[in-house]
Amino acid sequence: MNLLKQLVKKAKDKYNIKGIVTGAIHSVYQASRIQRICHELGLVCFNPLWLADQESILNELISKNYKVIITKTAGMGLDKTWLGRVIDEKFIKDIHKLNQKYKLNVAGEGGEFESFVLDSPLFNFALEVEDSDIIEEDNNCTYNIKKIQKIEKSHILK
Amino acid sequence: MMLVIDVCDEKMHSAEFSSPVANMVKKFGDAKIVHYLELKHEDIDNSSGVIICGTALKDDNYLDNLDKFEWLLYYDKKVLGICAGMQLISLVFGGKKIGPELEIGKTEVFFKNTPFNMRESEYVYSLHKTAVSCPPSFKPYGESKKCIQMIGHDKKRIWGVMFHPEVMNEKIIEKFCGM
Repeated sequence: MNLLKQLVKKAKDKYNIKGIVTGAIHSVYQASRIQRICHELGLVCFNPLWLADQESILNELISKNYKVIITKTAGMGLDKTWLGRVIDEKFIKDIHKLNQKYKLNVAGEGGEFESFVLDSPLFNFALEVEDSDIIEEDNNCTYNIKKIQKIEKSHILK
Repeated sequence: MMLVIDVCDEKMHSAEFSSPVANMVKKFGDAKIVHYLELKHEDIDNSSGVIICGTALKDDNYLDNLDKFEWLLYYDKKVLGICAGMQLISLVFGGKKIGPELEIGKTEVFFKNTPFNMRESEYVYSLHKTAVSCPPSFKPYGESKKCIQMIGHDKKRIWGVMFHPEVMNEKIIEKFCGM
């Protein structure tokens, strides 16, 4: 059994989940993989962003006050300076330039980058990275989060 | 106005299966999404054509409501059934359910003489656990290793595809809109 299926099965057994919501937008590979796991485990698979406009999704993250950072890069033009960057207007502008230059997917749907959500309207607490380092490999760089802390949202508002 | 018929049992699935199709249709003209249980006579009368969309793998409630699609027998404008939509077309016109016949993901389909400019072999995105037979008065236009993937009526402008053209074969929707 593959690792992802094992983890989903664990969640099903422990929390009695009935389905999974994914953030798949256009990756047939990812969508098929999760659809297959859900089918084998008898779960419903929801992909509410499926085939949605990718740049609009990035803009929505900003307008709805999500705080998302880049934690892995593996694409042309995405060096280690992109790690830890927050998805903001400047990020969208810069990723758009790489899209024009290298046809890189602006939402990272080709595995060009991975991200981590530090805050969202759904969170009771925000997260803050206290300690991290960067791991460089042949074709990719990883933002390795070593320590993270919970922050009361009211403190952020103050 | 193209009528895009949503067959999803869960509202959250409509964003995944019906909205992308409607958004593609809107590039070529007007489109209106209506759930099959809320369909009115005037929606059908005012339409220039119909696309019946697919739904989630775990959802097959539409198969218990075939009577809601009997109007297809008398509808004289163009129709495209996608996945669940093709199953409904086949069953309403006298075809049979075949299955379970699971296909998920990239699937090779062999096409012959389609009106959608398909090459002899093309990859499509599949997401179904039930297949259907080619009903009387229809011809098969495409097959995968497991099942019939495209059917078309002999005289009427009615087609069905078992795969999801909105994912990897957008040209089918474009061509259908222009017919």
